[in-house]
Amino acid sequence: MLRKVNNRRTLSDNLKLGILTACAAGMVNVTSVIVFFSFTSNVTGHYAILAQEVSKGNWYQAGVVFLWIFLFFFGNFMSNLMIINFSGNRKYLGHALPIIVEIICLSYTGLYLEFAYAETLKETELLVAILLFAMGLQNGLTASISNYSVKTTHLTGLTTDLGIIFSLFTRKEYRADKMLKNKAGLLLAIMFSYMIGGVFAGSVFLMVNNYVFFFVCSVLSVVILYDYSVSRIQAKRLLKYSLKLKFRDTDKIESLQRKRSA
Amino acid sequence: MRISLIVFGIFILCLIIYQALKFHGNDPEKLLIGNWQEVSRSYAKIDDPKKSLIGWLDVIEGKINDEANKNIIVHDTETWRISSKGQLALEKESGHEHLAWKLKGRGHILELAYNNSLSEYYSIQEISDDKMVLYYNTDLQVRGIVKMVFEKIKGEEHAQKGKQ
Repeated sequence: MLRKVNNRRTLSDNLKLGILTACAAGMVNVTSVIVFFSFTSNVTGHYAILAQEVSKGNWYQAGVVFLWIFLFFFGNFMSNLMIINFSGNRKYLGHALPIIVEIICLSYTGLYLEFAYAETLKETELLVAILLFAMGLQNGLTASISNYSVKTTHLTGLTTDLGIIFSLFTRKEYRADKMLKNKAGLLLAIMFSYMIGGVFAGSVFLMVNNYVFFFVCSVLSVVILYDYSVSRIQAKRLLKYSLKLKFRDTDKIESLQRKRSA
Repeated sequence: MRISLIVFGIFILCLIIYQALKFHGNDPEKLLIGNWQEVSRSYAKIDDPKKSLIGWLDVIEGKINDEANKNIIVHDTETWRISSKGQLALEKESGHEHLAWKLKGRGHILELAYNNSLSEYYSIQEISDDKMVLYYNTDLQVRGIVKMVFEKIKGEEHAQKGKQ
């Protein structure tokens, strides 16, 4: 899921990554709207709010929204910086690091909300900033390793692409195009995962409150551990196979030596 | 090295812009603190469905209003006394009531929490040294059901400060 990049990625890799990260983004966004009255997985609305606050002359609010947008940008920046600076054997680490930092951010937010949150405006501004940074990290990672085909924190571009693809499907020659069908399937999977994540978080929040952030962390942990566990299984199989070959060869050599000596 | 310095410079510049904007603006929490006299209150108007060509739309709007009104606690308040410790005293003809207040979002949502753990949310449409405009905020995607306009009681505030 995280190991392969760009054209080496299969549809299955993109589907797994898209479904899990979109689910996480949906959960974070809905929870932040419930707790902070602010969206944290997309910035289009924040640009509009920034423009509105500037036009009203509300410089304090404009500053806060500017910081939020900047931190989303900075999350994307940091994510790609980690990816391009870890290569060779450390490539997997480079791809897992943005998710690890994201998990730290989300855990901190969950713990702070549960044990220290006094509901002051400063705390709210800071926690929203942390969540936007975390979502920036996730978006930067998924977009970067999937050659921009998986973006899971906001659905504007996805809805646009779906509209275009479905209009193409009105013609028979495009309906037969396997690549287009795969793309539509991927986009629909991301869209539904985001929705399911949001509905789940909204329902579960009533029961577990701020611990919902730990559900998000567990989903993201699957993203990291999936490749790790798959590679371990593959390594074990390879070792077994090579040992088998080795023993088979030694048996052959021994029998040849016996024949020669005889 | 040069690129790293540029990136670091951009990061610092953004933080400076953020600080400058915040320094130049007014903290909504500070603006909110004081005594506010309610000067007007207007409710969303529902047109007569009989007079309208698309009357069914008004019926739907009426239903949305009913749904939203279920959660409204009607205030007969005259004055809101908002303290810096998160306390709000409602002064009305029938007596006093004490609530807790919090600001959410970027300082644009005012939450009033009652002792019975019930909360109300208001969108702060406008807030300045002497005027505050609030809209009752509901979960539904409808325009403000109730618009409340407040004016700051300046004299009393000075008197209170003098006493302190």
